[in-house]
Amino acid sequence: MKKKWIEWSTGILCVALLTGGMIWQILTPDEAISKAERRKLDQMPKAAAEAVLSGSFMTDTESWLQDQFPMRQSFRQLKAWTWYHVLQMQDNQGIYLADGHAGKLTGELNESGVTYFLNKINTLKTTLFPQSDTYLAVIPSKNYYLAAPNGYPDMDYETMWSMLEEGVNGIEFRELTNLLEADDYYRTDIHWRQEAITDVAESLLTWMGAENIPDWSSYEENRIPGFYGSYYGQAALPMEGEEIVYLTGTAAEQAVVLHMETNTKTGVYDLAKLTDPRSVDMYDIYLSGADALQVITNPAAKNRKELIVFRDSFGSSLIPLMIESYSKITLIDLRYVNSAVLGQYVNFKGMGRNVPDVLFLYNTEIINDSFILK
Amino acid sequence: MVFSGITFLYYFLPVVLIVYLAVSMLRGRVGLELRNAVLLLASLFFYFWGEPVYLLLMLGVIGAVYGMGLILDRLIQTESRLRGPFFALSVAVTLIPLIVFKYADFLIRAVNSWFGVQVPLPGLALPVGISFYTFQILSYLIDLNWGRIRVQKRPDRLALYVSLFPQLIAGPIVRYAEVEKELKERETSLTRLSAGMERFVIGLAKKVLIANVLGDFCSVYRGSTEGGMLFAWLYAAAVSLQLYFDFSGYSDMAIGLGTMFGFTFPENFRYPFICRSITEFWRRWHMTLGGWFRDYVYIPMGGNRVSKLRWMGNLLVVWGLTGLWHGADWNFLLWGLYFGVLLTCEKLFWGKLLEKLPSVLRWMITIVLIMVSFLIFDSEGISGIGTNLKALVSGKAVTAESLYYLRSYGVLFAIAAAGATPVPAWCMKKIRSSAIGEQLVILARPVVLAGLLILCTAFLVDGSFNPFLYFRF
Repeated sequence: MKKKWIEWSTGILCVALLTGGMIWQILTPDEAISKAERRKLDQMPKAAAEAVLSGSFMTDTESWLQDQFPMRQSFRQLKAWTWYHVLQMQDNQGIYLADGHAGKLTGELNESGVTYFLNKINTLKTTLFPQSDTYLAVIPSKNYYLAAPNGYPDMDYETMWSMLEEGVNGIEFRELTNLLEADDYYRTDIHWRQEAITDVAESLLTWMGAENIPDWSSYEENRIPGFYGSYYGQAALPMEGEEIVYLTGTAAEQAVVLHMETNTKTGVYDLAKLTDPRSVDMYDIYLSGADALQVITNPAAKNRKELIVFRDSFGSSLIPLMIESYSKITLIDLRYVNSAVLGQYVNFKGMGRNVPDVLFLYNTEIINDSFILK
Repeated sequence: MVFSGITFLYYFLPVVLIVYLAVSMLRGRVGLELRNAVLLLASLFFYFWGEPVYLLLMLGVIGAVYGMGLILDRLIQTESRLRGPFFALSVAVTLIPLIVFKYADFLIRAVNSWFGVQVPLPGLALPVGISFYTFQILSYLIDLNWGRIRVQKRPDRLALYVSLFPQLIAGPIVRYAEVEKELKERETSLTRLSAGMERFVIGLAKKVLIANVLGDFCSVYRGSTEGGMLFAWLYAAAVSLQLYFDFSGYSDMAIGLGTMFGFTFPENFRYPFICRSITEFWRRWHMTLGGWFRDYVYIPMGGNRVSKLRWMGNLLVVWGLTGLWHGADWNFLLWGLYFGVLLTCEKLFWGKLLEKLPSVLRWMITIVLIMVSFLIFDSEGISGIGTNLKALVSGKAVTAESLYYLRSYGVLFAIAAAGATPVPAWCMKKIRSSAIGEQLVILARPVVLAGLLILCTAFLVDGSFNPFLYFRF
């Protein structure tokens, strides 16, 4: 009989696992979002006759059951561990680990993407702000410091620089590689750390001829622990959490951000995002995260200078460091607003004789994949 | 619903197994009828889940075949002269849905191209598994006509044979004669459940942990613009191994499920990549399909007992059809004909010469020919074939990208290459040859298999690449 039980154990154990998984899932309430993956999880679909006959109900059900499987994050970690340590894969869904950082493979240089980007900014310059002093500052991806030295494929940055330098028309260009290093970025995220880029802010302000360069010693560091960046979620590997640090000085504390889409106002640091259940990214405390059009006014401004910044998410943490030097900074994210309608919402001519300066501030990944810019 | 999905693994399978095992406790005729009823309902639900509307098509085909079988049997019993024509008619009727749903677009496109006309394409979606169940039904009708089996007078049993979910969508092609007895009488036990589960989990691991990951590599290659010869050859190896592990994994899962429910399905793969000739390869690759074409097409056409010219013709017809069975496109036809030509040449020209070569060299030549064949198979139409094959011999030899992916997928390639040979089975046999080893295997088996099941779940939950390669079949 004992032998029989041993013989049956495979079947019994596996059926118990499968049945247990089913019961566990039925008894576990569905989750709305996966914080680690930073996405909404599929919910139970409605069984309408049309959906059943078209098969979409079945597809949605399979997707829902997969998304809501119990211990989802633990299973993802098990897969990632097997992927890296057993199969010895160099990356997991494009995320690799090097020098204590998680990075993301970006693929090859997309020359058509760079050309599209150049056409976009040159056209904007010609049509909307021909009189403005205009600058293009390019933020290198973290890969620039991590990928090639650790044997990972990466894009050809030199070609990108030369394409940009030769392709801009009436725009001053510089790339920021000499001001940064890998540790200036979060270990688990794509973005740079605000406390590590004061030199970048200072260098850009000087380059653009700004006055009233901030005295960083007067700024206070405010630390929030428990930040897990987007690469942490995608890699699903156990990595230590980090601190989000935001720097406050008089100007940053008094500055008011007008979110034009919703006509609401916040400070440059939106700490409500930390408790907002809809927010999945702590990096959103900087300027409240992704937004099409924002205007920051500085009541403590010592001049009437204005700046208009075309930016991506890297700008969110940099701009609060630059507000001290301007009375007003307008932020435009072309991923969320069409450039054809900008003239209706943004005053590119400025007030009186104060023509605003314009800064294009983009990281290399956006430039390489610039078709997302409207 | 695919076997390698959360819905099947954690909902459909345990529910069906528990209900099936519960009714299996009833002995005698009632027990068998209930078991068949559970399996039939489960199979129809399984098909409905994937193809809600085409379930009616399958039921219609089953109904037609059931009626045609009864009439054919009657004509056989009465030795009617109508038997031959009616048999031909019943085969044609069975083939109509396959031709309409699978080949209509392909044929019309060819006619439009050849004659410069603009006949509109019907654009019908291909019902999943239609090639498999059509061939199974044909085996029933042909064997009935040849007197190898008795007519099935119970429509529910014929419906169960055709729709039996373990082998419905990806094979193996089970002939009616192979399960005729088991439809009436079969053993269900915890011993069979364990044996079947072991085979199922091994198949699942082959599909999820190896084939899907190799598929991931193939996607990387297809998305790359840098390429290079090394990358192209790695891709050829990855495609070949992916197809093997995916298809043989599905066959293992089907055979395992069959075992759990008391059926004995035929083997479909036997280490095809250790072959030293194309003839041997096809004795080891998709054996149920090869056997089907041999018994129902090649031999009835005269096989090799005809003139050399006709023999060659027979081979090309059979292999052309084999290619088209895999998909209605020119690359599949070329893939089949490629093997037809190779087999003809092996039989008529270089077979003897090949035998004189060292085994390793024969194996290498054969493997290269097989990898090339799978590049044809995997191509998008005719133009894709040229691109895939050209990449093997042109461009940079080695690129940084190809070296990176070789480094990244190297362990997986090694595991897959070793797993495609009898080495793991040989090692297991060696371990079990001692008393301690045998005990160790018995004790470790349930733990290892449960571990594999959990690992497969982890890969599936993470939403890894999980393609269903048989949507064209």
